[in-house]
Order: sequence, then C-alpha cells, then structure tokens
Amino acid sequence: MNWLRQLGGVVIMVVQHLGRAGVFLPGVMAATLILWRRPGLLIQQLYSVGVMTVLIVVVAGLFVGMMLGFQGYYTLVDFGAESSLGLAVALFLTRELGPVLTALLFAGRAGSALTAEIGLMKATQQLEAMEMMAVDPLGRVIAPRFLAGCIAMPLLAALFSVVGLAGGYLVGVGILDIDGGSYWASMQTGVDVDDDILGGIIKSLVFGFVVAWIAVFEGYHAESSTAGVSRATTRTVVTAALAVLGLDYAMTAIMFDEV
Amino acid sequence: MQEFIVDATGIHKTYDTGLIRVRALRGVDLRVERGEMVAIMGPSGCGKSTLLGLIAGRLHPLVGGVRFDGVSLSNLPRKALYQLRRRMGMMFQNDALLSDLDVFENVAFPIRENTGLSEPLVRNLVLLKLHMVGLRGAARLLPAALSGGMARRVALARALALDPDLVMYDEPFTGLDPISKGIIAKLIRELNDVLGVTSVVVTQDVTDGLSIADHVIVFIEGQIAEEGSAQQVAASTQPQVRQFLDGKPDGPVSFHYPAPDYQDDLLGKRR
Repeated sequence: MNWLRQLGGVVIMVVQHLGRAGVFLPGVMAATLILWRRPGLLIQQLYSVGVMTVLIVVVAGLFVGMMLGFQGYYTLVDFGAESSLGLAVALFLTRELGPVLTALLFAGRAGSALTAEIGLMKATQQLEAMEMMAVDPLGRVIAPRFLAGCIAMPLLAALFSVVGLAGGYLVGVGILDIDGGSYWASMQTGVDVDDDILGGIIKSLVFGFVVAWIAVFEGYHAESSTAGVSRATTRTVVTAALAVLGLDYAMTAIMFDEV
Repeated sequence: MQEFIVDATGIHKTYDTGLIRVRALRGVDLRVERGEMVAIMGPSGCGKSTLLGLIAGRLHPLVGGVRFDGVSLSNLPRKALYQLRRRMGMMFQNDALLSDLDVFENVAFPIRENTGLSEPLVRNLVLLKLHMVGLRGAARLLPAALSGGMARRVALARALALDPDLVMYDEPFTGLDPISKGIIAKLIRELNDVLGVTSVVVTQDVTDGLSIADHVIVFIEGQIAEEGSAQQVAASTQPQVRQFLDGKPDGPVSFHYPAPDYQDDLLGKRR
C-alpha cells in the first residue's frame, strides 16, 4: 500500500500547486492595472521578453519553413499537386506549427529566464527588500513580466509563421523549381482568415498567457536557494511545454468540432 | 506620540520545517524607546531575525502582539502596512540591492516609488544620502562592482532614503573586514544620533554590538536571557550568556545537535 500512499502524496502536491497558481493569478492580473500609469515598466520587459527572443524565433521559423517546403513537395508531387505547396506550408504554420513551436521556444528562452530572474531576486531577498520599501513586488516585478509575455508571444508566433512561409518559398521556388506565382496564389485562395489565421491567433494568445503565468508563478514561489531556483526553472520549461501541447490538442479538437 | 516606537508583548513564534516544529520565540516582551539604539544579540538560530520580521510585519506571531508607534500589526491590511513601512528602513544581511540598478538608482528606488518628488529633488536627496555614507563618487557603479563594505553602505543609504522613524539592521557586520566593520558601526551610531532615528541592530558580533548600543538584549533559544546597558550585559554571570559573550565552543549551549546515542549509532543499532 506504500505506492498508493506515495501516489496520494503526489496528487495532493499537484493539487496544492495548482491551487496556489490559481490564487496567484488574480493578484497578478489586478496588479497589471499599475502598468497603465507606468508603461515604461512594460516596455522594458517587452524588450527583454519579446525582442530578445526574436532571433531564435526567426532562425527556427526559417528552418521549419524550409523543412516543410521539402516534406510538402515530396508528398504533393506524387499527386501532381506540387503547385499547392504554398497552401500546405501556410496551413501547417498558421494552424499548428507557428503557435506551438513558438510557445515551446518561448518557454525555453523567455520563460526560463523569467523564472530564473524572479527566483534569484527572491533568493537574494530583493523582493523582500521591495516589500520593506512599501513597494508591492507583484506590481513592480511580476505584472510587467507577465503582461509582456502575454503580448510578445502572439507577435512572435506571427513572426515565426511569416519567416516560415519565406523559408518554404526559398526551398519550393528556389531549389525545387515550382512556380512562384502558384506558391502565393494557392495560399491566397486556400487559407481562410476565420478558420486558419484566427485559430492560430487564439492558440498563440492562450499559449502566451499560460507560459507567462507558469514562468512568473514558478519564479515567485521558488525556494530561496540555488537548487530551488534551478528546480523552478526546470519546472517552468517542462510544465509549460506539456501545458502547450495538451492545450493545443484540446483547442484543435474544439476547433475541428466547430468546423 | 507613543513613548515606545516598538511594543511587542508575549510573543511566541514557531516554524514548521516539515520534519520538526521549531520554537523560534518563546514568550518575548520587547519595548524600544524612541531615539534609542537597541542591539539584539545571540547565537545563530536564537530567534533574532524572526523578531525583526515580526516588527516589520513580514511575520505574524502565534501568540502575542506587536505594535509599531501604537498601531497593532496583526491583521493590518496591506495598504495600511505599507503606510507604516514607509516609516521603517531595513538593512538586510546580504544587502539585497537591486542587481540591475546602479548605486544611485538603488537609493532613489524607495523615493521614486513612494513619493511624487520631482527629478531634481530626487537627485539631490540621493546625493545627500550617498554623501552621508561616503559613496557619492560611486553613484554610477553597479552592485556587482562594489566591495562587501561598499554594498553594505549603499544598503544603509537606501534604508535611510525615506527618513524613517525606525531603522532595522540585520547582521550589519557579518562578512566585513575590520575596517569596513568599523565604518559601518560608526555610521550606524552617528546616523542614529544625528538623524534622531530609532535603531534596532541584530548582531552576533559581541564587540561591535556592545560598543554602539544604548540597550543590549541577549537572546538564547528564543528567550531573553539578559538585558540592560552594554556594561550590565558585559558583566553578566549567566552561564549561557557568558558562553556567548566569551565565544566558548561548548557549555550550556551544546556543541552537538541532539542525536541518538553515539555508541548505538556506531554499533549499527540504527533507527
């Protein structure tokens, strides 16, 4: 029966963790109101969370687009439908790969950095010092980082898709010699704004919200030690990745159901 | 105006570490007069820093109450607590300087966040505070570029930035070389006298603690073991207090952490 007790312990721990995260969120969202009066705090974080993630998103987007160019071509060419390569690349990117891969990259690059930064501020008593100076760390430290994550993620996902389309074009038109006009024309006729583009935007908004929430929560509740910050950073990447993939499945199922 | 700026009565505080329940404070009464400098001394883990946390309203007692300038800190709403904290300054043991801000911005931080003062006024106030601790010339250095003694002085300037009524110092002498220690001790004493603030210094450093304080309290295992003027405490005959003041490795405060029988442990009669 020892395994049952251990399983129960793990379930209780997970539920407690979820409960703490749930209680934490309304406080953070209320604290974001301060940013109307102090937009400078948000802009600063948009730079470190968003702009600093652009390079990895552009490089990854380009390679993924090029890979889709090859894979799409070799699948479509058997059916004589290689002129629809642009449509295939666009649908893959806007509906799935753009939001999902950007969210995974975002969790690895910006999410882990957010957790580590906040966790270290906690471990070195900087958050405590702010409280002693009558400054609420939720408003001053957590809220700008959370909101910056929510804003930056959909923009980065859009950038990923755009660069991915260019990557697909480079391979399809530049290397595999399909017609450039049909690459763009198939995309224009086949991609639906409501079903495809909007679906992708909704996904990236949800992923941005969830990844930013997990990152700031784990940092704020990290144990005040080097090992504690390290564990919190790992938890951010793992939990955010699993949450993104799980939510992606759930949202895809719902969106398919509606179609 | 209250005679005592800090008035703590019958304080009990426990921590649950998961394995054991630690009784950090056991029935402590503490009164700090306005303008006084109190040194709270004692060995590690005796409850000194816990007491600072209670005075700052960061921790809450299990039993008893803490009043700051007549206002009870128990169940105080966050806004009211922050109002009171604007009248408190705190210097942390590890300085707790904001690592991404330079020295000037660290000292300016509480002023900018809590007052609507114009930028030229903030600048002058910060330079005044930095000049007091002798670091006006280091205003644009980042905390990573400071020595331990300099960082402690910046933390002191920041603690005094809002001209508080009460300043709390958590182990201000730990990890400093003798010269820096002397500078910090002199600054703490002089600023207390010149600015008329009340100071509570938590320290393990017997020499510096006794040399600067008006009133000394020695804590042993969560209780007040001795208190009075520096001379009175230095002349204490209580065995636990003597062991602490004389720095003896063993005595009433045991060298060994409670453990099962040594022979049983070695012969394999383990739990």
